[in-house]
Amino acid sequence: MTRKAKARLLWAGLFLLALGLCLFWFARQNAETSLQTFAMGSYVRQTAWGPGGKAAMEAASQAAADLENRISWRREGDIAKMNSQAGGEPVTVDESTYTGELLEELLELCERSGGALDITIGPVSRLWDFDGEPRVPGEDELKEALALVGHTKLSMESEEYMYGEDRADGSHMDCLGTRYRVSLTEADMALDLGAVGKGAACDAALAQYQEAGVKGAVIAVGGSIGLYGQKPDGKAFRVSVRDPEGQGSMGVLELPGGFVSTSGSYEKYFEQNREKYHHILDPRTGYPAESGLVSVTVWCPPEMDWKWPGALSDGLATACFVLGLEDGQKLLEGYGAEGIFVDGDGAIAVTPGLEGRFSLTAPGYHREADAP
Amino acid sequence: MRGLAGRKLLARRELPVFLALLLAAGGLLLWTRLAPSGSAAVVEVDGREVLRQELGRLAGPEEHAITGAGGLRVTVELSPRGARVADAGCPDKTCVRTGHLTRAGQSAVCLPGRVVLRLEGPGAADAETY
Repeated sequence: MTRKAKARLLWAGLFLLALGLCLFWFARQNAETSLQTFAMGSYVRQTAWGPGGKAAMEAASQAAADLENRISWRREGDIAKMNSQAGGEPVTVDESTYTGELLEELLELCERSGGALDITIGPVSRLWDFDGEPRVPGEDELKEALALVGHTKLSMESEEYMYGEDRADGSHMDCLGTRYRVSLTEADMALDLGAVGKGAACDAALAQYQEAGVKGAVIAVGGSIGLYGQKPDGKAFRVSVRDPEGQGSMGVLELPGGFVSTSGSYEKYFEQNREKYHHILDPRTGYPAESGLVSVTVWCPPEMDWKWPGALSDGLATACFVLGLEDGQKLLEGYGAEGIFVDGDGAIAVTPGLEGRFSLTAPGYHREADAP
Repeated sequence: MRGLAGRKLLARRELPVFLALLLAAGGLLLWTRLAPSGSAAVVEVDGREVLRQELGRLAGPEEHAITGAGGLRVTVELSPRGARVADAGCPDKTCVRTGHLTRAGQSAVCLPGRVVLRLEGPGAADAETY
């Protein structure tokens, strides 16, 4: 081989190596990884794109588990402590656990929904025991439990305070924090955040994705979804909406990000004396809600200015299911959230912000005159 | 094409070879990213994959017994048309009630046994809300 030919071969080899490295880099930038775990009593599936995805998903998984410990009444965190001290001394929580700010936003939702969502529903939900051995409670015990339900009986005071923080570089920083004093004012009252736990876990996960700087990620905690960043192809996230009456999917939402939650009477129910009882309780009656709806899906867009938009999407879906179409739409409008309402006759109402983003694919449904 | 010293990097007759190589590399990349693949049923126990079956390769329905968390028994039925949880040893049977999964992205979850049956494949949504 001549010297000239050798040089050409060398250059060609370098060229192919550079090409290979480019392809490797491109594949790595868009690599898809997934992680499956369990949290909030649900199956959790995460998918992330780009470098650092796996570590971010593991951090998100841990964050969801930590949150569950703090806000589940079954664990031994802040909420369990508030329940155990009901009627007694207040429980003080600071911003480090986020429980206070979450309760603050949820109380506002309870208020705005006129009690259609009530986080003090614990005494009633325990009687129905949907996650254990469900049964229809007797009238007297239900009446007694219902008397303990009422978000206005939850006392919450907050105050700002200064605290010091040592930083990794050795410097010291003075920070302004908020401390909350929370008490359930009557003995035997009980908080139950079951209606918002899955959505709140999505919030916790997205905070981790942001911190890790992943390109894009999706988390599904049961049927509550958090959508972060961008997919490698730049296309919208596709979220399938389960068919409330049949099997499979009713339609598909195409969204730029945000949080999606659904409340449906089909998901969890039991039968007693040939009657069907679903798990979405109306805090005002103590019985499963009867608003004529079978499913409500709520989307909280990424630009919503709340600290817990995932928890809100979950809570709003429950509140809207209890309120029914008309009042539910008004509630969503006040929050700048969007929704899909499905009634028992197969009529679907879609709020304006989801117009063009929702494609109905299942037969047996028809679009109502769209929401005003 | 000229190198740093002004020498020819590629002879005119070699250029087509390298163009062909470049096209082949690009084609390979596109093929691996865009080529359709069949739907597969995946069974997980406690987040770990225990069974994966390409549905298009099945001649007919077949059942698999899965042992979930706490020894809970779950029977999944896979067929060329889809997959379902045929039976579960838990009291609520939510996974059985989920019915037949026919589209990629759908899943049936047995929470007490931490068993998940899901379909993977082209056209799957990024997530399912319910």
